[in-house]
Amino acid sequence: MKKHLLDLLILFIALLMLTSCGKKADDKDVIRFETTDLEGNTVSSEDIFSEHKITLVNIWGTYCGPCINEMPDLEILNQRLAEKDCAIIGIVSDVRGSGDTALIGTAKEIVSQTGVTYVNLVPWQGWYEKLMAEYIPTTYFIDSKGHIVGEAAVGARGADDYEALLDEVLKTLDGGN
Amino acid sequence: MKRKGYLLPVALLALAVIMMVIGSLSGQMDDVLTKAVHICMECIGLG
Amino acid sequence: MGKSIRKHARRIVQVLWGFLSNGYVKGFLPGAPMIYQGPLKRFCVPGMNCYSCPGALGACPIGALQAALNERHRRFPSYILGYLLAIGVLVGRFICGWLCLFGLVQELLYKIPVPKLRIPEKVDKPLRYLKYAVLAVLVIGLPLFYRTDAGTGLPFFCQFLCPVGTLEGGVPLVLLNSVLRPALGWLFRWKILLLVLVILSSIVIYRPFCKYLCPLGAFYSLFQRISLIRIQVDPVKCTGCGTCGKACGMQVDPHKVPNSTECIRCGECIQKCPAHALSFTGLGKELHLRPREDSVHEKTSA
Repeated sequence: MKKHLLDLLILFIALLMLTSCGKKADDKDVIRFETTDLEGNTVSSEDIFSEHKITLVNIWGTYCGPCINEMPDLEILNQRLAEKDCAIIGIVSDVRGSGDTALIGTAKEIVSQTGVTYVNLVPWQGWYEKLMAEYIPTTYFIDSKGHIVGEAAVGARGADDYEALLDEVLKTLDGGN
Repeated sequence: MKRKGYLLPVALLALAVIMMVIGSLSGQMDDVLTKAVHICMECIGLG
Repeated sequence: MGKSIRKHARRIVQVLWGFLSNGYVKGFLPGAPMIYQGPLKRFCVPGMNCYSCPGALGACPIGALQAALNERHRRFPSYILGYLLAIGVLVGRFICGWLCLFGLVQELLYKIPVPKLRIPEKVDKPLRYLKYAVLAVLVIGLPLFYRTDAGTGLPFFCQFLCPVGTLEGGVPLVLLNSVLRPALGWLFRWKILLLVLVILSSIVIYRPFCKYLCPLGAFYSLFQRISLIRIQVDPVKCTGCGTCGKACGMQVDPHKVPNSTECIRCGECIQKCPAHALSFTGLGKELHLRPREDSVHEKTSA
């Protein structure tokens, strides 16, 4: 039976060796959508992305405590972003569609409780194929053409941390242009 | 084994099936799915 | 060859199920999603298996239960509780012995050849009740009643205690994905410490998590005496030799208490009983899941 343990250990180590790469967001994907916000207004990707240099897309859920706890900070961030020609929007990952009145109601409760004023969107079909959100909160940086740029920020953090990450992304944009 | 010895488990099993059906009809299976594919990080001890 | 397979049937089932329930190989590869996000996660696996494991294809029932109780607007979790009730009533802690990957991990660790620790009964017996406290308080009570400022509950067991999640989810993810590393802090360090403690104890104690901490085992154990699949002692054949009790890793005395709450239904006792007095039964019929080691009496066909 010692054999079994050895085999398993070898297998695990082999898996680790095979897969010790980091993960970067794919720069080639373009995010395009048409969906509604929590009030029921239609929102399309062009409306939002083209207006700003970088749009932060914060993916959260009504059941996720850390996501909700960082939202007041995200609102603070939101106020600062206007000066940089950037913006932030949210996607409520657990809302099942524009007809999901129960969860939309809960999301609205949370939005008013945390004082958030920026747009929060209802997920659309296939949304998490490009905006992968295995863990929430996850925040993506999207440029004015709808491309994901830089690395996604996984896990809750403060307004200053997000701003620092955003500045780095902005630097790469200016460098490229 | 006496048949009576199995009345309780069979009744409980029937109850369990009814519970599962009611739960899935009210969308609870989708809730399980959502929370298992968009995982709250701290909730699993990554924080 | 056939006899060898039958002799190791349980181990084979444990390993196969471990791979099957965590068969999403893509989760371990770079560039792909870190976890499986498909429809199978609507279903819970019957044993302890964290849904944050990159390979996991199903949800964890304990994780799902806490998540349901943590909701801002709680509803009675009839789907998950119904599922747990069904499994308990069907097989009781048979799941622990045959279909739990973390149980297998502990058993393999116990095979490491070092001197084993004998916990005195005075400590062991009361400590076995701890897992019921874990179930009542960390899995049900606190998630049901405690609310954070955010208005949601906290999954106390998953977040602060569960070593299964740390081993299957936390560790592989952190090793495989640099994206997650900035988010780690004291909580992760605490979970690693707990995992190390459980791993170390598993080397010197047989299945310590199952004995003292597992809330799922605690739940299933409530149904041991009434489950449809049970262990039966033939009082005519039993000689009272005590071989079964000596063979039992969970310190159960099967010929006295065949369906003890501590029995994980591995069938070792059935296999070792020289009088063939013990057997698995399903609805009164004998089930031959583990072959007997030697023949004292003539083998009777099912």
